[in-house]
Amino acid sequence: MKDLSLYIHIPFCSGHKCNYCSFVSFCNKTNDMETYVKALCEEIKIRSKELAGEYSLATIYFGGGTPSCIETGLIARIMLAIKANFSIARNAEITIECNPESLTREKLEEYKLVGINRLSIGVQSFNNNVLDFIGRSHNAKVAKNAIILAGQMGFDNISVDMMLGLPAQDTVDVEKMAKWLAKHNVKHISAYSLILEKGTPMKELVDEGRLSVPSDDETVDMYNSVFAVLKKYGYQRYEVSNFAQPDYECKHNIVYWTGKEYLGLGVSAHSFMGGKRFSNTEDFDKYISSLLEKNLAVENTEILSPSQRREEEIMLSLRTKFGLDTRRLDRLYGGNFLKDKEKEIDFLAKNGFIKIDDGKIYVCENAYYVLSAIISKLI
Amino acid sequence: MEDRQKNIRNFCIIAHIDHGKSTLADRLIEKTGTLSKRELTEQVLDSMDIERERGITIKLTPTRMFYNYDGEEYTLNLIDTPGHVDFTYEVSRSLKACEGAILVVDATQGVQAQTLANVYLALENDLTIIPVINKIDLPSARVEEVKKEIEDVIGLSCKDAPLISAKEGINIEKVLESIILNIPSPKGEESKPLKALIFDSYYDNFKGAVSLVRIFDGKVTVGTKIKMMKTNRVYEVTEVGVFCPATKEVRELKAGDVGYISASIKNVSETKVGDTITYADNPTEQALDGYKDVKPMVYCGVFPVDGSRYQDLKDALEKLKLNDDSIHYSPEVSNALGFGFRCGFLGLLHLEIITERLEREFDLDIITTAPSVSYRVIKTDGTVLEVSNPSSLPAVTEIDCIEEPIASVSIFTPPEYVGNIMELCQNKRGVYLDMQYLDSNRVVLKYEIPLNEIVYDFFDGLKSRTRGYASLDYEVNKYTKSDLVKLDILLNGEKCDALSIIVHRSQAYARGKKLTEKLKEVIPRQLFELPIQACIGGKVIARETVKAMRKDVLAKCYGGDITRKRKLLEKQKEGKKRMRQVGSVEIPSEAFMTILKLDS
Repeated sequence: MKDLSLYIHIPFCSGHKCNYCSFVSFCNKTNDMETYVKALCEEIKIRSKELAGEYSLATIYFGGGTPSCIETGLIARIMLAIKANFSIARNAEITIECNPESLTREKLEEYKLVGINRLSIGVQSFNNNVLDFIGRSHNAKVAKNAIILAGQMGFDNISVDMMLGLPAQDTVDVEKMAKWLAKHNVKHISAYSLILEKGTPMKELVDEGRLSVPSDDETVDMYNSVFAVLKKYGYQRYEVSNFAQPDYECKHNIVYWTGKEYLGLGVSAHSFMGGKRFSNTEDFDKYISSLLEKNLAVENTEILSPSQRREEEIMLSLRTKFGLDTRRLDRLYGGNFLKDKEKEIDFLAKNGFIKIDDGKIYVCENAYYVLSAIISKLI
Repeated sequence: MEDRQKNIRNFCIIAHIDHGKSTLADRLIEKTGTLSKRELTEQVLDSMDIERERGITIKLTPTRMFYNYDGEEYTLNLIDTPGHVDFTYEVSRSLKACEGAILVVDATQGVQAQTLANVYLALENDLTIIPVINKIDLPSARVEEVKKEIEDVIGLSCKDAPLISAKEGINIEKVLESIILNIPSPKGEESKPLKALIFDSYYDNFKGAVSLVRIFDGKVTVGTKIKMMKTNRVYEVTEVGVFCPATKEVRELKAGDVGYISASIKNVSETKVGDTITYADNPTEQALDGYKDVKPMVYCGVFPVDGSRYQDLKDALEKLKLNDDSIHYSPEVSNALGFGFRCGFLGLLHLEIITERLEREFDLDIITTAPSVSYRVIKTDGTVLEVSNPSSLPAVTEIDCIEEPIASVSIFTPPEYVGNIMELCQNKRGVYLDMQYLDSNRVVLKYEIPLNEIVYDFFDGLKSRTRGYASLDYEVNKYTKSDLVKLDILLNGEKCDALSIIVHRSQAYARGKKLTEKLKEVIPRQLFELPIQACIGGKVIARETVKAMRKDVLAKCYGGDITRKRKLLEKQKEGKKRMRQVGSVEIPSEAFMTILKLDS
């Protein structure tokens, strides 16, 4: 049986959406949670009919939104539906995204019971002013307690999200946070720099000059100091924004970066199967009504041309510590990458942006933050 | 025979820009019933969008009108003329086809630079000039003073000058009356061999090259075998007609008429403006005086922003050239901008209009390099080179000396700005010649100023120093030896040819500093630290540095939405097409535009 990764989208947040968030999620649909889960279970059933015999699930990932904010019992229902319809690999990595304030003892029990073995906690910052600025409803204390509680409850594989380049944030802040996490043996840390996405309240505030965010240079300084701390504590950067202790890389994430197949279920979820990228409708009501009538709600399908696949491979692989395998690239798509791009590769290597080893190209440690500029030279 | 011509008047309207020439033309067309008010969109004769938007006339357009005066019907042929200094040559073309000219003077502004320039042209062509004072409805109109100004400065009597408001339609019939009473009728002979002056031509997709003509002698009809006297080529006429102002086919054109002739001619270069058309079989002995060939004054490189659109740019230039023979272009290759063209224009306005038309009518994004003039380079071996492109300047060791074109400049201004203008001219290496009071309100200053200073930012300087009250006329009349140097810009040590300029040594430092500062602003951070240097020969005279880029990375890939990432990447790739590569430096095309805008 082939490996498949499953992504489950839970489009709910409690209270309000964070003001930098541009993902599909709702705060005013608490009454619809049950119905949504019902629709989701239908989608699991429909999909399993065509796939279950062929695939076993290597990873499952509940993302959102805030999956931990939905009523106790609903995640269990979804997990049961998955188990009833798919075979799950013995060592499958099963992750749920949580926010600190909804991570109760009760929910943790539920997750454990249904086989969830990895938590990804959206903490973002330990600076209460910063948390306030970005519209998060927890504070540092709540976050730390949640991390500690999860550990006590037996969750060994915990990941914490932190954000860089937030309003009112500085290098000292992020360094302190990284240290705390390392000392508390958090196995995996994602450190994302803030992107001001179109249509978000934060972007508007910044555009209107009512809120200022650290400059690119300052953000890079934050990133570098986090990297330095984590390196000292034995973490490895396996992707631009992802750091892990040995053997604790997020398998699900790696699926995305290495061009493996994954199936996304739920409103707006993205999939990549059989060389085809497709995604479900972003319209909540449409998703529900269509699934309750036992029809899939796929809205966008894209069949990648070989040159698109090639470019994706270059773009994604250079993000990771595994690097770009140019021989594989030549074998799959023809050409001679090292020769065709000789001039650019020479330039990048000479200036310390990339290293070449045994036909593989790796981005140098200090060059990760200009990755797009590097990639754009190589495609 | 002569009777027919007795009731024809051929005239043009001359004026300084904005004095109301086109508005008066509209009123005449309306008053004579040639077009109804409804049909008359504002300023019908300015048919191009650009003309209407900018309120200027670029191409000349004739119109035939009928008017009843004193019981008789008259045919009035109006030939519109451009008002800007760049297009003086077009004015002189219209004048040759007329017996008279209406001189429109703005009652609030009085005699201006092009008023005078155009009057001189009209006098050279022996035209009867009718002064008309316009805008008398405005509170600031100084009718009596302006009349006196015209009499003193130009020497035209204003005793019977119509006082009008073209905008409000006041006293338009006085203008018509004056045309009929004062402008002589044509005196050609229909029985003589054909003698027709081509005063303009344009290309029509169906008819081919169409000649706009004034018939002096003879007549022409469909089937007439005609000969172009310059090229000696023979054609058979397929259509003759007049402009009302839309084209209207007629049976024949006779001595005294203004109209058009088409004869299935493939290329406008065969209908050379200024040429005389005659009978193929029974030619006239003496061709009419033609026109001087116009030479471009201002040059610049024109490149497509997207290098792959070179062919489109070429096609567009070819098409524009069909109707505007004054555009010159030849292929050029730049290390920074790739393939493009070196183009020559009549002046800065002409340059601006053509580049705007390329973008609008042909949907091209283009980069133009800094405007340059044509220098005369005398090499050590005695040969003389015309150089209009800084990058084709020979090595310093091969140059004996460089001569630059000098313009004699007349600036009309209210006296309070004289000090400011003198300062400007001084800064622009001007040599003072003369100053005259036209009356207590107006002064004319005469200077000799190098043309390269005029194309740099003289117009803007003049405008801002005189709050727009000064007007300017110039004519290039000589070349003078001058201490000129080539200023190069180096990006990361590599010369960027598209940014090279030829400047006077005394101004090299200031220009170099300004250029490097501006470049620092517009060049995005690269993967490495980027020095920007301005150099003369090997010597660096100004330097700026763009710090290395530190952050250019895509954020997390949320829920497997790789498509979005790839789209961003594709967008970046698309953007790269608009990037120019100078050595290892990537510069967005827009940056070139910003830098070069510094010159205007």
